Amino acid sequence: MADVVLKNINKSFGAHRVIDSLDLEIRNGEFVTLLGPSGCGKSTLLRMVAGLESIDSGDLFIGGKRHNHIPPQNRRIAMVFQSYALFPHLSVRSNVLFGLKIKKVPFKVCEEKLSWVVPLLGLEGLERRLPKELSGGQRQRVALARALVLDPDVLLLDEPLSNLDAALRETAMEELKRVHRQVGKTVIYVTHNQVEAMTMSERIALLNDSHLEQYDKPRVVYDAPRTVFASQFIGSPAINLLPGAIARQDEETGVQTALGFLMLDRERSCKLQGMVGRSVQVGIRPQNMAYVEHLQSRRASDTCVELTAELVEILGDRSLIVARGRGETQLRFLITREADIQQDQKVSVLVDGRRVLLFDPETQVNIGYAP
Amino acid sequence: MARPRSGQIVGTLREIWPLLPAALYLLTFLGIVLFYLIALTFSKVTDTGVIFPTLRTLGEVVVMPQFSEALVNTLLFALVGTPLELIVGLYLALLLYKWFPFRDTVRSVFMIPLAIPALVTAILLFILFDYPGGHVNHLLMGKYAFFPQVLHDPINWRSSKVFALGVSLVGKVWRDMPITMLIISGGLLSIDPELLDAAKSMGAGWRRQFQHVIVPLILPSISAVVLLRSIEMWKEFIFPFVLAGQHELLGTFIESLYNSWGNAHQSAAVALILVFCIVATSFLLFWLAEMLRRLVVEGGEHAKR
Amino acid sequence: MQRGRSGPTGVHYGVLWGLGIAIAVGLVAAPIFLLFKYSISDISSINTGGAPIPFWPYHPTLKYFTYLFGDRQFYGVIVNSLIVSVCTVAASMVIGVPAGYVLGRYRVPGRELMLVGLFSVRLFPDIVSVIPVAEFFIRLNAHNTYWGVVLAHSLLALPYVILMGMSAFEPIPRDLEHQAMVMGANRFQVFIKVLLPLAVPGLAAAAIYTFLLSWDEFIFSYFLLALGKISTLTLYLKQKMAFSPPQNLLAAISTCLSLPVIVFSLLLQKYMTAGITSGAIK
Repeated sequence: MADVVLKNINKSFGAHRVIDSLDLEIRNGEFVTLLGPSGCGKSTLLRMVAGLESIDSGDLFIGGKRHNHIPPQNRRIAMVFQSYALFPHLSVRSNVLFGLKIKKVPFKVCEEKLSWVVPLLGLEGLERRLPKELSGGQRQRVALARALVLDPDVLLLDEPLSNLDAALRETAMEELKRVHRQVGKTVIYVTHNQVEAMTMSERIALLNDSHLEQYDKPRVVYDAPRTVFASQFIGSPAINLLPGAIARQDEETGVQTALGFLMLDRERSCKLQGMVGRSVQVGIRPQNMAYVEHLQSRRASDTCVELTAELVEILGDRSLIVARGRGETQLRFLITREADIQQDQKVSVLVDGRRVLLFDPETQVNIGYAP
Repeated sequence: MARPRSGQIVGTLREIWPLLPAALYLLTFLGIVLFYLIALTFSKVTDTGVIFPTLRTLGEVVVMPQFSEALVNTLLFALVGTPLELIVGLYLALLLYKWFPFRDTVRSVFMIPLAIPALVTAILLFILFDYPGGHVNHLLMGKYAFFPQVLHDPINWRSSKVFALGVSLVGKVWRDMPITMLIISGGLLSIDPELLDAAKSMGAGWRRQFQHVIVPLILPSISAVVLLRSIEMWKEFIFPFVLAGQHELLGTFIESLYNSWGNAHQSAAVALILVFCIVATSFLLFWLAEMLRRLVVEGGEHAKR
Repeated sequence: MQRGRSGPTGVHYGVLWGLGIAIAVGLVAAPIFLLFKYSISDISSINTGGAPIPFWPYHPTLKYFTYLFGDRQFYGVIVNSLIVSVCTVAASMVIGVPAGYVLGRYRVPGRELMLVGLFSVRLFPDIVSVIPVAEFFIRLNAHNTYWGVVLAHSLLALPYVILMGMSAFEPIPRDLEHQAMVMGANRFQVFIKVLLPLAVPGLAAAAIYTFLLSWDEFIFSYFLLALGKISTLTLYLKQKMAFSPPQNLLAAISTCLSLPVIVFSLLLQKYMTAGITSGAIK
């Protein structure tokens, strides 16, 4: 088990800068996800930790030791690939024991490890099969077993669930979390799927276009995204964004938008008093807008907004309403199945002022962000 | 399947008639080759005329000392030449595996031996391995500053069987390098690079990666090379014809029987035997390849421990 | 994202690999260079009487080339080779391209069997099939004639022309054919106006391959023409060898023989590779 420290890492492929002055610190035994859209550099970063890509400049420390020039075979890491990379000519058993055979681990120890990892990942009865005789989920578990059996300091997972269908993915996520709890290794997980990141990680490193956007616990990244990008990438359905300006109305400081004047919570109201007139980018998550019919009570920081429903998307137990408000502003919000909204119906919605996010339009940074 | 009615046959013919000239041409010649081969082999010219069928021609040929000599020579040629071609092909394919600038240019350069007519290559070797002068002899005798002296006297490369056939082998291997390289390159390229990454991440250095991942996965290519090239070795004619005049392989023996001895029947007999050897070798190698494959690839559910 | 395949890392491996490449390139290029060198060598650079043969002639000369091109016999031989090669290309293409067209685009009953039959001629070693063919041609008085050699060379080339023709015609989308037919074209017109132009690259490769095959061909030419008046360049070269000519002359002739081949090959590298791999597997 070891911690991983990346200091001022830079990496380019030709003229294309993939990683730009990145600092990251992963604690011993922590489960960290590198999350981001395609091309943001997360897989490259993972491969640099593995030693499969070279580091242009900067330092990589694993367990306190500088690893920049140590080849992958000499690092105490194990990796699970997106395609699982199971050796097609070897049985499940031989695949799992591959790394051990290279280290010339004695037969008895191999058997012990097998008898530990096989039940852990539910691979009983599959030992003699070839990879082509396995299902996607089974292959994924074999790849994981192969990595675990090496007892690495750091476990690296490169989008291991992206080839599984949705139902399998949920089971796999739970299993990974359980395994991590039992085995307690340092895990670096790469994905573009925010649900995976939110479910399994202790901390999420959100990457965007070669740099680190935010690095924090899932809850914090959700509630207090550092940038507009972070607020958009995390959270589903996508956040509503609209321009606005800090303004004052009836002795209260809030945000003036095309929809009208939006109230904020007391604390921020006071803090932002001095910034009246400043333009902001306003973010409202669909989850933080409530259909008036549902609410019994109303907070002081809630603002009532009049909207006309345009589209109703039925998601199952909830529905997503796409509506338009004043100034042609489009908003999305959610309703439960008890409510029933028709197209072109006029509705009233309460915006929860405590959860309204304010971003500087130029820097895209959350005004209220305190790292 | 229902028996085709005449209408259907005519319809098909109308569709595929452009194919017929080629088919007829090739099949006719196939027929001619087979016919004459068998006719000549199993007949014999005697004072009273030509008798057919008879095994006497075959019998004559098989007891000829030159025949057994040629057979043994060809066998040795194949046994030495095939692994040699495999190694050279592997060598070139591996050199080209890792990307480097100008890789495509170098690959084009490696293809050159195939472009040169075999006769030219043979004559070139004839010149280089001349006796008593000639680049190779001078090289081995240390007449060039950069190479140490290995011999005192020049070697007559046409004198002994080993040397003559050896030089022929050099020519053949040189000429066939690109083909072997291409086949093995094809096999190497089909290996998913992520498999090598996975091996690396599990502690395998370059040697282990080669041994445990690359070799098992290019086994089909290697089998193809061994099969194809050994057949080519049996068929070889031009190089020994130019470079090893008196020491014969089956190919040149056929030629000398036909031209120098003027005996078409015996020539055809040896030719038929050669075909038989080739077919037998193919079956043998197929079987060997299958055994090897079973050894390396674990058999899945039905494998025995 | 470009990820090169990585081989062994480390300085030692790099040096070893560099050495390997240097040796390989040397092995391939050195003979070519030496051939060229010999073709422009003067006598003193060859008959050195014990002194080491120079890697570059003392007095490079084009004497032998000028001698060759001044020799009527040499001209005649080149012309013969050209005639034979061109005729072979013509014959093979005329017979083979339609066959490739049919096999590549139609479901022929017993297709697999037919392919095996067509290629089985190539299963026999040249030296084996030449004896029956020579005997047969002698019966027909076809030996020592142009058309005999052309027939024989076409025999050798046809399987490859058909194979390359197949792979040239097959990938053309059927929609184009249907479109043309809907517009009123009959089958022949479709072939000429639609399929042929699109198959030209592959067919050009086949034509060049056939030309080179015929140009370089030795065994059949030797058996069919050796005692007659017609001689091809390969035959000429072999005949010259019998009289111990100066090596530079041999080299000069060889260079002439090789030149079109190398030029074509380097220019059309891609087609050759594709054709050879599929041919090798066959």
